[in-house]
Amino acid sequence: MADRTFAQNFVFFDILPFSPGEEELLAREAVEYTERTGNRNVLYSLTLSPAGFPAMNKVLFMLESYRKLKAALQGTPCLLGVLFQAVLGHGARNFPPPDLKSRPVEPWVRMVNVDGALTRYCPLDEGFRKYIFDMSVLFAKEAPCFILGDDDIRSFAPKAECFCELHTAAFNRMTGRNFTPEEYRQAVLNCNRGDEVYEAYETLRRGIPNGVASIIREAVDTVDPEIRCGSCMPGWEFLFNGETSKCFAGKHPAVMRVANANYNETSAKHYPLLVVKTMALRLAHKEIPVVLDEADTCPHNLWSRAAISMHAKLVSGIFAGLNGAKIWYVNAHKGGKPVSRNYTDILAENKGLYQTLAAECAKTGLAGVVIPAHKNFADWHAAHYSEVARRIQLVADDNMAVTMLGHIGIPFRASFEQDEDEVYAVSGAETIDHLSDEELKKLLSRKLLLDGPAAAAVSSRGFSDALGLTAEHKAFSFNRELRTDDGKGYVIVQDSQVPFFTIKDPGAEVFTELHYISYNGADDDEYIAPAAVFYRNALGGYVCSMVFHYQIVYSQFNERRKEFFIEILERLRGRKLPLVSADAQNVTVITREYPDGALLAEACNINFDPLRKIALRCAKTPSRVERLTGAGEWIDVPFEAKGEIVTVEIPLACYELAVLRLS
Amino acid sequence: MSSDIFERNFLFFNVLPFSPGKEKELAADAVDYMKQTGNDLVLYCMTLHPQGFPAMKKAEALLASYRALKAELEGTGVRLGLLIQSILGHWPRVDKDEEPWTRSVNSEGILTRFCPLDERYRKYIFDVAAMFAREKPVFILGDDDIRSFSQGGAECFCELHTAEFNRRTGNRFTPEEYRAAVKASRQGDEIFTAFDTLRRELFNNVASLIREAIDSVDPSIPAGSCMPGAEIRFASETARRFAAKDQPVVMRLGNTLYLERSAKDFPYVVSRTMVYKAAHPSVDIAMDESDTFPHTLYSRSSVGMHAKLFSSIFCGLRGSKLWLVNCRKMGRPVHRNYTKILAKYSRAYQVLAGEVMKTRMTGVIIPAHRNFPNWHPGWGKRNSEYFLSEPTLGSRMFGVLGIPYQCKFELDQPGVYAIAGAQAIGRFRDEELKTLLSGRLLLDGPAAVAVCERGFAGELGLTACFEEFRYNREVDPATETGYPITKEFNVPHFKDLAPGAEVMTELCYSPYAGSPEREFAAPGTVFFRNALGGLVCSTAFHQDVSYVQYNETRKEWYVRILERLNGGRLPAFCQDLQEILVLTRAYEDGRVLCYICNLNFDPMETVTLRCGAEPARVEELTPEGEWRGMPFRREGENIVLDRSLNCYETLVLRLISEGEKK
Repeated sequence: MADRTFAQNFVFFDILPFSPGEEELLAREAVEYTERTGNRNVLYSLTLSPAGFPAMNKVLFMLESYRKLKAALQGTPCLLGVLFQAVLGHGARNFPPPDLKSRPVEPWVRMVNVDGALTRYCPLDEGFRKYIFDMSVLFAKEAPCFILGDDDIRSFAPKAECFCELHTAAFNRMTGRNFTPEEYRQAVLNCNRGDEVYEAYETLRRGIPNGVASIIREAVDTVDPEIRCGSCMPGWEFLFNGETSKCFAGKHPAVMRVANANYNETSAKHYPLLVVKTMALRLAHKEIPVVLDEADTCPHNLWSRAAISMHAKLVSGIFAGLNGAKIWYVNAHKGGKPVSRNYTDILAENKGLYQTLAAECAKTGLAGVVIPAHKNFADWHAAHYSEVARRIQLVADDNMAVTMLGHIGIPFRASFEQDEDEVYAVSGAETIDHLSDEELKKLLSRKLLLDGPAAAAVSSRGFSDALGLTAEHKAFSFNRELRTDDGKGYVIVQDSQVPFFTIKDPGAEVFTELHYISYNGADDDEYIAPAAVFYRNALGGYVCSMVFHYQIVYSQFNERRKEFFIEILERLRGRKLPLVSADAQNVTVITREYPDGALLAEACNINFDPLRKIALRCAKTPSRVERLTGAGEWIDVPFEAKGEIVTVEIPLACYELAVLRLS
Repeated sequence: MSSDIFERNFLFFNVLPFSPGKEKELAADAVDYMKQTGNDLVLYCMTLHPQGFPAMKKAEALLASYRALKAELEGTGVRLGLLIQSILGHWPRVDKDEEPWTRSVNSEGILTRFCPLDERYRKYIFDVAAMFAREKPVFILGDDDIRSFSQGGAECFCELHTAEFNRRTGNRFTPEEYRAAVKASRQGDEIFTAFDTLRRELFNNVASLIREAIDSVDPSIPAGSCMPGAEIRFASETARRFAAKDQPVVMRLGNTLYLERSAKDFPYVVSRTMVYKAAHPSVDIAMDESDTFPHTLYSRSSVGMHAKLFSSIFCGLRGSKLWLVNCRKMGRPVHRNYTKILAKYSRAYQVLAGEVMKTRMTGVIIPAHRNFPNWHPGWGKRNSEYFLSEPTLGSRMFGVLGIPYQCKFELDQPGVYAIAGAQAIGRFRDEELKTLLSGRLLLDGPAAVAVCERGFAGELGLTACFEEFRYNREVDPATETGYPITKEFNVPHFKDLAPGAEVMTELCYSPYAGSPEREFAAPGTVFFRNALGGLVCSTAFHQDVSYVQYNETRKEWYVRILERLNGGRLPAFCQDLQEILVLTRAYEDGRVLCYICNLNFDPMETVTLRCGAEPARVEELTPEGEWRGMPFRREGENIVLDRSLNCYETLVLRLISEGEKK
């Protein structure tokens, strides 16, 4: 059974909505889903957090529905599993209302969060542990194809837990203290990372999800150790959810869905951020063999998530190295209404593509300009997570993939490594702030592009020598950026975050300069400061510092600035970029490279204007361009090569993409 | 006599980039633009605020380029006008050598632009305007730097303005005392009123000065203004000052949408267009701000620009200020997608504008207001008060659910009004509220609470208040239809129902999904016919309830409510289940003019409408400006058009029922 579940290159788990009394309909829809998409795995969504009294009543009610669905699916190609959509509960919602206090509840210990609020039941309570164990056994006895724990198996609801009497006692045992729960909570609120209190608390905090996962695994093992289980990474626990997934996995390869959702979508221009975050999440857990995309469309309608963008995210997820997806309610009903069949249609149209692409990705390595990722969260504190939420990103939100490369069609990739043979690109001070001095030195010993705020941050950390200049924020005037070789200009306007560069080493090569002129057409041009400077430093690195940054109003994207970036990146890397979009609108390009140098590429149009054809600038004119069809076959596509520009006759509507192979 | 440029139904002014030394190339681009789009009006962009020394040197350099362009365009058919892209300056540009004229001081005490009370600067403005008027431009457009806000503060507190203030009020303030007094003033007091009068004069007098200069050369040269974002209430006076005698008042609205992100925000822009148009009825020709700044597809797609143009025409605008279409910038051609789409629809713009003149806007009414109790020009960036309290039900809900809406200042019109949020209620005086409550009115939860707090609970037939109560279901007990809702603090508790109040839905509590237990918690949707003669529907639901704003059943719920309030079917709405904007206008004979725009990334393969009167004929406005019969099929009470719509693509239809069939 387990092998059949994971038999594909890319594994889909379609969540089926809890539909008591409508199991026949649900089964028919699931079968249709399987027939159309080729995906067999469906997980019945069961909200198993204790509600009502006795709590086991609800479990039995859901088990009954599960059994009906199982019976209805008997003999069909569908493989039925279960999503524990809630065990701890996503919030404290299911406790009866204060105005209905007469309702009995289970007498189990409630968790206390860092605000002192009572939240969910505490999984240190033996009664609740027994409940988790027993209900897991009940479902394991149904021989599900897979059990997936949801992201309520976490230690936030919504603030960090747990300061109940049981956790306080555990903490006291670990540390030899004698805190009351309130003293414990205050101690954690006021401690620093690295303190004994923090470290002990953090161990206990992580023990909440990991402990629940272990109970479930243990329960499943008592029935059938062959049943595979996995976890869903909660948003705030992406650093250690790999542990949780291993607790779930037991002897099997771990399975984890990453927290990379994008429901309630607004803009296609958000796509580069989704892509680079997914890459970073995948790499942060490279030891986990099966990582699933969070392809949720919650609340499961087109107002929240278009099918075309769900597909684009799936494809970029595969490019990032994911090998599965958790999708929700595809081809099912919700609230008595059919969920839009657009989702079914697009999965059906591309069922071959996902599988072939996942196989191709296994043969290739991500290529592109490197966005440095990190796991240094020295200033992040679980008890104050909302105040420092921004500080716990593997890649900064304003990284250069998001602010530039992902829009102008220059391939990029995230990396935690600091010895890649590729250009690293950093925008903004945040990434620099997260690096230790040692890490910063390593980065400066590579080929590196820094925008203005990043250069100023490096300079203020005492590494001006490695830049060949000092970069400082001060008031000064400019209104032109001009090349030193031919005097041609780039759009720029006065901006307080543009740093002032002062050359420290005559060996620095000035590529552009800031100038001032009274008005357009005046003859009183005045030199102000260097603007883009290359420098070969003593660390062996080759660094380009540029004053330009993405927040300079109205100057972010234009054709000249795109060419500026290409020129700088190619000078740093010492050779041409293999592939760049040649269209003058928002296009995201992601590439992977085969051992023989051939390229696997995704080009996605994230502009509202449709592209009539795809234009690519290739370092080497390809002899062959192939497109991966929805059926998963490579077909040759006609293309025209004029100089470096290769034009492929593939139109792309907004958010539409093409997967190409250039040999 | 009115200029012949106003003869077209819809005017396009294409702004040409300042291109000294490249006038020949620019002229060729302009001629090509005219040939492709049929639009012959172009305005040369002249940044005329004083820079360098002497300031007139720049003006003369610009004039030389203007003359060179004029010569190049001679005999081509392209009609050249002037955009005074700046005369006060959009912001101070750190000029190093400058005229010794008095600088404006803003409410933050920052030296900003030159002050137009300085006689030397006034002479500069006059001379520059006269100089360009002598070139006989086809039209002169003042830009939106002609305003009284700069660098986050209101102007002006210079010595000249202080003296003028003192002269008018009898005070003896120093500039610093004057500034402090204004910041401490309150709406309606003497200082506030005297300052605001001076403030408005600042820009209106610049407009008058320019007009005076033009008149000294040729009074027939038409001119107009551009509404600055900070002057949305006062801008039409500036346009009047600019206008030539006996010629239309022309004003470009401040309804821009560049640096676009999401098509889903588009209804907000459309609402703004509607309300700005309605706020300035004295403007004869209101123009769309079709700017694509900084003039790349990265900022604005051509398909988005076109969707906005069509919607603005639909809202009654009669012109557009385009930027750099078919031109070059920094030596590179501006993307030709803009030219292509304007060329493709050149006839359709004119025909649609003609049809709009024959029709009136219809749809659920979002009431606008002119009450700005918290507005204070001296408070700089805190001046975020608009005619609409966004998000309205129009921008947030109906505009993406495919339900037509409109924005109006009149509160006593036939039709259904809809109000969301307490802030919107707070904008209406008691008398205005009574007027609204005497009509047909939909109130969301927070709006219902605000109405009750104002003492009008009796008109709702219930008491609405925020208090802790638990629910997790909304159900229509008559049909057992469930409407998705989640626990949310701002969902009010409805109680104390008056006799006669009709409950359409109830809020309930159920321990878990599928549980047979369900307890009544409170009414959820209540209709009440009140003593004022109004029919009011109060809903506990509101548009911020997480994850449940948009779904099929909630859309059906809105339609049910609106049609019950309306006393009959809505004239037309879209049944498709994705973001879609629909606007409607009615002909006198009952035909419906309908604008449809797909705001979702997923293309629509068909368009499904439910019409009030089943149409016998559906016509589509083609890009060529023809009305072409469109085949459709009936599915139940809907009509289905086999017409695909990609993301941000638009469709204009005419729906004709049997009796109206021509």
